[in-house]
Amino acid sequence: MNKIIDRINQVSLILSGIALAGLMILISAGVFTRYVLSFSIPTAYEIVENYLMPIAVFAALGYSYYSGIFPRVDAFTEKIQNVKLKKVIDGAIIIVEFLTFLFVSYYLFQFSLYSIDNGMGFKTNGINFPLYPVHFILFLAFLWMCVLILLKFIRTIKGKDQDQIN
Amino acid sequence: MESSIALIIVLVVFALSLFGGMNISSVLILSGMVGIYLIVGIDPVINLVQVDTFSTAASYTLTTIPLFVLMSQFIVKSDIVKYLYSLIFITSRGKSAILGVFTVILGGFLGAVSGSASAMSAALGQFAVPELKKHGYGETFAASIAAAAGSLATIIPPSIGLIVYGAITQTSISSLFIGIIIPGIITIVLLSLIVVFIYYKESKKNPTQNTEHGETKRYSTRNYVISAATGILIMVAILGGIYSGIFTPTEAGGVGAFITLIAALILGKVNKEFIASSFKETIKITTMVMMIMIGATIFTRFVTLSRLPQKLIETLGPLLDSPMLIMIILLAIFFVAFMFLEGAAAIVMLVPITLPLAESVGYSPLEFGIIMSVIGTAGLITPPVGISTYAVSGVTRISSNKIFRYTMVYAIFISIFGSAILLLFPELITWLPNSMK
Amino acid sequence: NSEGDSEETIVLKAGTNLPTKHFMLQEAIIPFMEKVEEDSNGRVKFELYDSESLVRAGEELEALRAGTIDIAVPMYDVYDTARFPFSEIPLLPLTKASGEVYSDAITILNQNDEPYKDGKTHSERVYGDEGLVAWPFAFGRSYTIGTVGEPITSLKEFQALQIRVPSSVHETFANNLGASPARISINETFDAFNRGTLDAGFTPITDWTSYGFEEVFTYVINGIEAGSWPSSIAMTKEKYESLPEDIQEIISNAAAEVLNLKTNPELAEYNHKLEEDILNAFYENGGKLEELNELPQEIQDTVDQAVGKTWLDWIENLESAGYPATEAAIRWRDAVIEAGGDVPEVVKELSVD
Ligand code: NA
Ligand code: NA
Repeated sequence: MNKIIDRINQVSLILSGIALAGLMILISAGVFTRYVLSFSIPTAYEIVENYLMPIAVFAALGYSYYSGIFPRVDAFTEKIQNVKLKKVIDGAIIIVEFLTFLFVSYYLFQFSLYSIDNGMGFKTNGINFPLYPVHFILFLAFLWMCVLILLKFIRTIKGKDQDQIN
Repeated sequence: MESSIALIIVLVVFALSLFGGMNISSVLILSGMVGIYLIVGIDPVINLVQVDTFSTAASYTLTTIPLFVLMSQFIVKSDIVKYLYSLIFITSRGKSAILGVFTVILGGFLGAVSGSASAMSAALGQFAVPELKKHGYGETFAASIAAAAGSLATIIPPSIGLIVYGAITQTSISSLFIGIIIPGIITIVLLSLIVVFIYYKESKKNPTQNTEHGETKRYSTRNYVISAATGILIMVAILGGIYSGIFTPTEAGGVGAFITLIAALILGKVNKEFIASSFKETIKITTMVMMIMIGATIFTRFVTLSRLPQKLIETLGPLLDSPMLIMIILLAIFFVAFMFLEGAAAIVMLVPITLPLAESVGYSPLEFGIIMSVIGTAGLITPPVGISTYAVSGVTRISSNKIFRYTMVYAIFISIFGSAILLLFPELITWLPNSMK
Repeated sequence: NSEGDSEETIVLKAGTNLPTKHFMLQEAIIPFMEKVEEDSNGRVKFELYDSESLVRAGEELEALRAGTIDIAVPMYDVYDTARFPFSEIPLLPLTKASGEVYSDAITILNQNDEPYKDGKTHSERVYGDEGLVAWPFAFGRSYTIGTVGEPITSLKEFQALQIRVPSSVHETFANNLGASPARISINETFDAFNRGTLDAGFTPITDWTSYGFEEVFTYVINGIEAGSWPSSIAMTKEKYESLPEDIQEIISNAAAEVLNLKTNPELAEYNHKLEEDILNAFYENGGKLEELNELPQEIQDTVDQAVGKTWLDWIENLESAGYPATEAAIRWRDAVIEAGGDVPEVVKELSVD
């Protein structure tokens, strides 16, 4: 089970990492070609905006969430002495969060279908670039986050919330 | 539904989920969705969730977030900071009070190559805290200095907050970057003053601690020369590249990351672990920041639909005759918002509401943006959401609640005196941008 | 719900990307809304959400469909060329044009009820297929080339320009001119010109103040007619048809009247005054404006050829994707000429065989 989770996180990190490296390389290369060679790389701007940024930001969403880096206010819940009450509050919060993102994931799924149906995309230099692949990655990223939230819920109930991945 | 009832419900949802410990980004997304639903129904909720998630991230301008964070990671992981730090401590031997000031100034310099306060605070936490401790600083006090010094990354350009502000208010980013130089220096001076003051206060309380000067670890001269040279080169390349028009401030993120990577390669620091951990950290921080921005976008849609801005303006309307009072109220609102929110999120959410008011009492978007940024810097070290404090707490294993006791004092001091100086003398902001035209 | 509840006020949520103070919002959009409110005796009220507070530029379609907004003021179908390929037509360069020419030609094109070969009219094809009712407009003066350098004296200097392009049609045009197109976010263009990151840009003079260009441009070529930015007032068919018929007519008439320079002399006058003021500020800063027909012949010839080539490239790109682009281009050409504009010979020779 943990192996599968690690593997999926790893794949998402690689995808996001490729997009991040792409951002760095494409932007630097663009500055070089413009300043030294006096031309701009065609479509680079659109690719950065529509493909690389969203993938870099979202692909590893679940992993980032689960790493515990997302800031939250725990000053109040930490003061609660009653272990059972604290568990109930933590559990309730996680379930509400899960439902929120389940809703988001479902409609991102609908949106990727809509995106295919409607031919959403951008057209430059006579080429049509579809957006549905990115919309679909977004859906998968949110869905995977939902799965990890559910996992966190189970851990919280079992009282094992401390050992988060890094 | 009546928007005032919706507002109350949203406030309850917001408070319960926030204080219940839900992630800030989720709190914003959830309460924004609930609010939009209550005012205009479910279809707009679905539409905004679908469109805003993608479009907030699909932005060329915001590439600075991942790329400046990546650059910071490369800088920290190639030990450039560590050697520079040790060099400064050795050359300033003897005067311990000065070392706190040095840390603050170093934070300012590091801020000039990075826009990421959390990355810089974490870096300073790793290198400055042990050194400060050796020179007679209490552990928590040292940690608080690192947190505050790192938070300067947001006020010393390049600054993500200002880029976001410039983008949403159509204010020239170069004017903002130039205009904040003097206020940035004022902030550094204010922070240095309060650090020196606390240092002497603590040394009176606990005189023995401050006389035990330990040995600073010395590295080879070669390390110092190379790291100092590399650090300066990177800074010159980035600032020079922006200033001479080779690349834009946005592109500086990409170029900065790239040349820092080359520098790290030349220093022989690059291996699989270097790349993997730099990328991993960057992705985590980027996702976190962007999710908060998405949450803020959706929450802001609700605020817009509720017509709260108009109501706020109407409420504050009678006060329009006293500009100073309006500005103090607005800045107080920002101070509270920055306590609870990530900087960019607070800016995205509050600026469209507050800027028209500030403009109506005679402050330009440039002046307002920069005074607000000073308050925003303070927000990075205030509880309950103080990213810089958390970052230092994370690397030093010192309780964040203890660090907040110091940093909250700095934040209030900087906010009150910094904004007072700038409100009374707005020329400090406008003089440089105007004279460079 | 038509005539029966005509006493009830109809509130329409109007969304725009335009900032509160933008002249297009103040001089065109708000007058349009005021006219509708007036003509309907207050039965229609608009709730305006400006500055992208509810919908971003180019995302109006989904917002309209979901009911996030009821009316887009305006909709930028030109940002959505994958779904609105013909929205770019007014961006095609011309050899003679003016705000009035664009304004009129757009009306002629969209009122043309003659169906295309496949049986659809232009407006059905562009908007009807997406479930929209729309009133397109473009009354802005042409995009022209402004530079931050010295006056251009030779074709070589002209072709050495690195030009910021706001659309893919401009990118094609810049390539055909032999210059280098570059993309840069609009928020950064002022800095980019100021520091010389780029040395030129396609912009309409009336847009300069929004970005402070009159402070940075030093030399402008007048007479390069690189299109006018199109947009449209748009509603979903469903929403529009749910309105009482007299209200439908009031909206339609107001849109047709207010957004056309011919029928709205105040707007025309404002446009001219704005341009004059901006140019005065430009001259005061030491700026120089030169007419294309005073430049060396080799430059004029290159521009003329590039204009024609850009039309042909645009047609070829869309035809190869299966759109009747030749037919559409011919209609636009005829509308432009009817409105008093002009195109190069090669465009005049276009025909559907
Ligand atoms: Na900075
Ligand atoms: Na805070």
